[in-house]
Amino acid sequence: MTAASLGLLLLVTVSGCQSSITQARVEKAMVTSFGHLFVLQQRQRGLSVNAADLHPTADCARQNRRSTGSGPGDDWVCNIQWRTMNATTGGAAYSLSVKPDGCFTADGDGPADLNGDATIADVNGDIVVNPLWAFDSCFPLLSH
Amino acid sequence: MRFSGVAQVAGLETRKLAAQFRVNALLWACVLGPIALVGVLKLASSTPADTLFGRWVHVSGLAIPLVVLGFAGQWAFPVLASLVAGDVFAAEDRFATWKLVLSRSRGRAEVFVGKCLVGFGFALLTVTLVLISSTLAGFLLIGRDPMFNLSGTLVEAKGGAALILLSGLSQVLPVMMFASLALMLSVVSRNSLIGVGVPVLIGLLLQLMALIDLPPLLRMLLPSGAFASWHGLWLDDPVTTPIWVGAGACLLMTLTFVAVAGIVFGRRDVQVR
Repeated sequence: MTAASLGLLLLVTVSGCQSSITQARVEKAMVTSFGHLFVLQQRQRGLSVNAADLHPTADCARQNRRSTGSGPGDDWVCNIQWRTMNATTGGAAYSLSVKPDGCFTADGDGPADLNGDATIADVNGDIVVNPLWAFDSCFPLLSH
Repeated sequence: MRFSGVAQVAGLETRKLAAQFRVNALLWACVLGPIALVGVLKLASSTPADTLFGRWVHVSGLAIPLVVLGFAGQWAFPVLASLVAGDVFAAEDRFATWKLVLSRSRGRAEVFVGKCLVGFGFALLTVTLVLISSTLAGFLLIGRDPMFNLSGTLVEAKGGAALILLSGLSQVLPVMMFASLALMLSVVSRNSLIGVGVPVLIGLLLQLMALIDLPPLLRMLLPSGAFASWHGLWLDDPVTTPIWVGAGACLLMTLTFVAVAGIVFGRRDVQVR
């Protein structure tokens, strides 16, 4: 069994096939998670946001010049945009560490009032966990 | 082969295990380990943020069994599965007691099935204890606050407990696969060191493979993928394909290993020394 595993390993390495960690999958998972967490953070701050009005989009890419644009790694960066209530565009940046099993950790890179701190003050003045500071998410490796 | 005969063999094996200090110590470690983990987390106020759900260990008790599942599925469950299963046959070689066991009124098939049942039973018992203990430790020592799932949606304690149960159930077949591998190696090699050690080594090798960007189907078919397949349950649209594919592959391997062990054991010559 060990020999078979090693054989498979070799096969996979040599064939160098397309990674299932793709830009589209990372972007879809980021949009879903960020959308939910943003609505929740706004609610914590006493602001009511309708998830359907948010229309978030994500633009994710690997920063490492030598990387192929897909695959696991620590160099993924996502820029997220959404519609605010007064018809302007909001933006936030995240750096991602994407693991080969399709799970990743997104770490907030600004703006500071949105994802700069691990905790925020809620509408009652209590200190609560900031859901947008950093979060974990996964995407299915066989989805479209 | 009669059921009462199998039950007699299994009962005797269980009594032999229950009398061993190392077996009892291991069971207690399964119960106390997760509680100690929560104690350390509370004292040190550190966060295992590099593990899935690790950042919620101080907020929600739901995170504790999942962090334990994340660690244990990688390193501990293969060990727990093979400790008894890899020794249950080879111990009779070590003590040169086959000639006593096989010359009694219980047939060879009854001895085989009874010993296999004890090997599988112990593997499942340890994993169950770890998961129950970590869930209770989480709820009682951390609390029943809601936690975010992997799509950023809040999961309440009740729904979360059901998902923890399902996540735990997804570990059954990969654990059985490692236990059956240990049983087979224990029968074939007649050596406890190989019976216990080789499955653990293969478990480590599979974890190293899981760090590589494998094709998704291969990832699902490997036991390491089956151990991690519970991740998909914690999405808004639960992904269950990896669970079924992984469980199916593990079931197939389990049946193969048990069959090989059965054939080898059935045709074995027992030397009277």
